[in-house]
Amino acid sequence: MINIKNKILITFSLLLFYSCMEPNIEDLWSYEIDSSFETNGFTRDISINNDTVFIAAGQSGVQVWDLNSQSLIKSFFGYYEGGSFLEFEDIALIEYNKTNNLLFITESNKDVMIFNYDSEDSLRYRNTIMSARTKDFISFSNGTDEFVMFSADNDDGMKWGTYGLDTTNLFGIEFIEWTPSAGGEIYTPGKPTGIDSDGTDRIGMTVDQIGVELFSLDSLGSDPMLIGRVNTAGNALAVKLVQDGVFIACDNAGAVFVPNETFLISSNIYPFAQDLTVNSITVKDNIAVLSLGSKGISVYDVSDPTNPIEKGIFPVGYSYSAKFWNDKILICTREGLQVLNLKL
Amino acid sequence: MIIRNKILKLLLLGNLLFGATPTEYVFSLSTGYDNNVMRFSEKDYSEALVNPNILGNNTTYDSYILKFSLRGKKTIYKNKNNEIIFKGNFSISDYRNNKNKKYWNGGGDLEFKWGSYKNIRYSIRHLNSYYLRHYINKDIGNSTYEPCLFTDRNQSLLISQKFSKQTWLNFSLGYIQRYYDKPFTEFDLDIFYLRGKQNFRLKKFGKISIQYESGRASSKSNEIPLRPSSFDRSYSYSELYTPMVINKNLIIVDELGLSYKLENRKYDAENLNDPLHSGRSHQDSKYDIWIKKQILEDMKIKLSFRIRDRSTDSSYNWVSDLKSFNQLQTWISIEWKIDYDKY
Repeated sequence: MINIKNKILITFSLLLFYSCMEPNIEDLWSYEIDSSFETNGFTRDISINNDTVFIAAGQSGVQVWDLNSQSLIKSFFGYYEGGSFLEFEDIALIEYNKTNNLLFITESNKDVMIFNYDSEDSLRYRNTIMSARTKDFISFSNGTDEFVMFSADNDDGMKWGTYGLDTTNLFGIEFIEWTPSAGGEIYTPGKPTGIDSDGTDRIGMTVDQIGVELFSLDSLGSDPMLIGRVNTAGNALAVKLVQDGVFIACDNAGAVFVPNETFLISSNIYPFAQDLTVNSITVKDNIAVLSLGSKGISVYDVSDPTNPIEKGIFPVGYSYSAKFWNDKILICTREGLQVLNLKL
Repeated sequence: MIIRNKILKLLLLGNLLFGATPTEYVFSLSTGYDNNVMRFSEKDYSEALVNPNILGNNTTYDSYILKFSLRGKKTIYKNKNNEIIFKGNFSISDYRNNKNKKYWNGGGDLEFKWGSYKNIRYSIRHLNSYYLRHYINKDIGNSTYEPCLFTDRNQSLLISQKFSKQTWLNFSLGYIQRYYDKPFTEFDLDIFYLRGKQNFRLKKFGKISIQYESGRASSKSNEIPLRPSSFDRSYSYSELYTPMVINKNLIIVDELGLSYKLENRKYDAENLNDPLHSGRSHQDSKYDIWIKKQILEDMKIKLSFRIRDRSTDSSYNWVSDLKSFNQLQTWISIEWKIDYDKY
């Protein structure tokens, strides 16, 4: 009898073991925070040069960090002009021009300031370009001592200019400025909010309630020509050019992909993330990162840009924007700069 | 679907494999009513007036229910007092006024018996894609509602021992895999439980039992992959169940049953970012009453009635309001029993 009971017990145990089921697997992506840079002020925008990141740190001014060692290289709360120290008020945008060792910096709703940054210790003010209410800008080197900048001017339209180095020596004092040699302005109905360009033949600009405009370029420095304008839902805030079209962050209407041909002949647009509030968007390969303000970020698989697939919302803090750095994602948040590893 | 077919084949063709003993089949057809299919709280009812999306694609809170069941029992080995018995069951339920709540469940028991109330039994139960309600899938959006369904696989090992002519004790341990359908897999749970049941047979009365169960539900959703819904949803629970069956000295009916079940559940979560589970506990009470009447030699009818009341306690008043609900269910069933013996 005992023998039978043992056999029965073993049989039941085996049944128990082999009758388990497997959980369902959701095809979502995951993340882990690789590191977090405490910038004191909000991390509003960044510009990456190899392993160095320049941070528009809001009321904490400008900070330069080494991404590998995660150490602060230099922090600038202001700058000297005419012998006076002027404190930054609230840095919102930043871009580094490596060829000419320049930092372009914009305070909220103001024009673009040019600084020379060629060492770890100094930030030398040069001059101011564009105009007040610059919401976004992008620049490209056009050889040494020259660059081209396009800006989304909130009260005018798109401004662009080719700027060259202008050095004057008066009474033994060297005056260095970047002065325009060409440029112009294209009036647009509405309020431009964001701009992006590939620096070769296209420029995209978001125009708040009006939608998005696409311009063509014959070459860097030539006059942009309007290709077309596409209305989008919500408020078009930021644009990211990709090969086949443009991705647009549309505030509380989510995001949308507009193929290049839509600006010419069709009316096909592909909205997604429509129940999210999207401030900005960045895309690399098949990954789109949407900044959602207080909700963090949302990531999408955009292998087929006409059919983005949601892969998760990550609560990484109040996010303004994101940029890719190698295989990582750098997120600009109110809590500092977050470095994320995305797990596909 | 594959599992369902396997259960049905096992149930219906079992007698061909082990043909020396008769097979007992019980067919049952039930119709019922549930006044709160999606377990809405008062807060949910108010919300539904302004946001009908929480109803999913349904238009009513309540529903009529149709249910078909089949049970089978067969002794596959018998030698003096020793028996090996196989039991199988299958049922399919359709909530007629709810587009999402249609599910099947089934299972089997393999029992080795060496005397009256002396046995050891392995049981497996499968509940397939049971619909709870629509929830927002916060992993990917802020406002899109999607149906939330789960599947249970419950396996248990029970030992029964008789102590006297009138009393016997059941002790079982079990393992439930509660795995949710996409996109709510973050709620997956592995539940281990222990259960003890003392049964008393009373002369000229019937049977009274008292059962106590204690279990632990483990959640892995706070582990990788991280997502907005990645919170620890583990909990511990205890359950008291006291059924009483009167089947002697009754008039009109053959059986009158009453039961009370009380579950106390306490979540582990203490995360301030997860107010929905943080420090939450609840008491879930179920009151059942039923009567049975043999209307033909092989046919009986059963009427049952259940009131359920779940009271949630949380340091957040809105969570207490959101997760407390009442429910009422009634059923009428007709059972037809047949013995199949080809010899």
